[in-house]
Amino acid sequence: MDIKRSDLKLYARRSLQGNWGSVIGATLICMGITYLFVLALDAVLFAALGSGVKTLIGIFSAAQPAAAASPTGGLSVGTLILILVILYFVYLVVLLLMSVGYQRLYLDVASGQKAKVTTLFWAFAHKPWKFVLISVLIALLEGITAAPVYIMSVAAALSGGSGFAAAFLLVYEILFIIIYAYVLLTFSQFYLILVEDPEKGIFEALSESQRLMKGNRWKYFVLQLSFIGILFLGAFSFGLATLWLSPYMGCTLALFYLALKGSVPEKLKRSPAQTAPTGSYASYPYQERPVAQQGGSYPVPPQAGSYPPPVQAPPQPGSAPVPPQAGSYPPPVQAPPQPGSYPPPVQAPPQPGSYQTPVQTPPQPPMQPGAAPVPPQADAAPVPPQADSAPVPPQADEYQEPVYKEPEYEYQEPVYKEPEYEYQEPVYKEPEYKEPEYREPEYREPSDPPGQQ
Amino acid sequence: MNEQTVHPKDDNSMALGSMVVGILSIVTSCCCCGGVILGSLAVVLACLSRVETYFDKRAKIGLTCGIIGMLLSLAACVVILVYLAASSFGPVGSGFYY
Repeated sequence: MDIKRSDLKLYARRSLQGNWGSVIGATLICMGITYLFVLALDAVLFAALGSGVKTLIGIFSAAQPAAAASPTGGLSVGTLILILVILYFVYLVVLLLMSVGYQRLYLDVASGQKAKVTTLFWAFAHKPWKFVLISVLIALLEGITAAPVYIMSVAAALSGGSGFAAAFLLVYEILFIIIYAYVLLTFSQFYLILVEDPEKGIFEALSESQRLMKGNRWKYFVLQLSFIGILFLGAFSFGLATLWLSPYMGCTLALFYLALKGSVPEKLKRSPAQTAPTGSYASYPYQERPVAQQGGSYPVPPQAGSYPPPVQAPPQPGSAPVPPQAGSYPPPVQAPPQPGSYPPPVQAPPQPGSYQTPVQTPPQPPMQPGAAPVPPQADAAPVPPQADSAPVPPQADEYQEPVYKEPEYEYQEPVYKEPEYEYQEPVYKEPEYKEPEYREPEYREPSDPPGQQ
Repeated sequence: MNEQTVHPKDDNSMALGSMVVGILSIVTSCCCCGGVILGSLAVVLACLSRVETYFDKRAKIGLTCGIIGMLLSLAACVVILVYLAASSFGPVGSGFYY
């Protein structure tokens, strides 16, 4: 991975620009759902406690328990505890699936897509039990690996504490932390791989994460550590800043994953000042966007079908010339001369900044031997040259200076079209093996070393 | 050809939010927590609003105002604590009793 940490964060901020509303809305919805679940759990818990206390009082005082009048509707303690356990399990599953939805949301944003609040519930429709199973397995693994610590702690507490137990706990915990961090870093991309493609198998995702993180564990660790400063600052706002910080961190980590795969969107690498639709330059690609020319005049963007200048068909001999249309582009050219007319047309000098007008060569009629061109007369049809007639010199007052008309440019606002980025799965091509050609080594007659003659 | 830079339409709302929150942090710095909460939020928003290699002008204002608001708020907290301590244990406190 050759992208710097600061660049990753910059790309994350760019990807979130315009998506803050959606990601913060998703966070608020998640918080609301969590709050509702906590309220429900509290209500059931207190009902169970109240019911249990009443039962105990009833047992010890031998009074009739007023179950019918209780707010729980007469539910027993066991039923309430069962409801509590089921509700807690549902709460954990919903929370887990929403956290997977968060990963998907951040991955979408980091990929340059528009964020949607509904992505929060993406995991409910894409292999939800797979994610639940993975979480249960991870929790079991953590529990098993941490079991010796608990066992040793209990044993040390029961035996009154010993030096051996303390030393064992210390060494085991240090080793545990190191190995745990290593494993966590190695398989850190596991969830993102599965979120990107839920069809992948668990072991396939694990091996891919291991492959991606090879040589990049330390970078990931430092990237995680680099958020400490801003998290510390956010803590001063009493958690208010986490509304912005958690999407920022999530998108940065998603971009780290994309950088490992080498699929960071190109548009994030460009400055928004170049990519944003900015008025009249919207239709230009950011690289070829023209800049203002000296004098404040902007080059006219080429309209469809208007550039290059249309090539006019040369008029047929004897046909009437087509007058130039006002406002047409390219600049109007003088009417082509009539066949046999004199002098040749003089074209207006090109204006600075204007396109080169096509040079039209007037068609020359077939000249008869000995014929001289006849000067054109006003409103007169071209006079066919007569044979044996004397050549008439051109008269100066018959020459009309062609009038150059300034072309009228109609500027049309170009329409900005968002470029579509389509991810294309890279196709792996097996390199062709070419059998090396065997060349018979040329045998050269060894020459006699000098001095042997 | 004399080239000029094309500037886009400025739509960095985070920078604007940072500036507003930063100014509010100075205003509320006399309250103990207001300056710290809003000041830190202004600094965070200013940091998150940087989508270029440089800071937006409004983000700079928000950053500065946020830091000033936090410092003023902390100073106000220290002053209040010192005054309370002095009024409880020192001769300043005797002034309350006529």
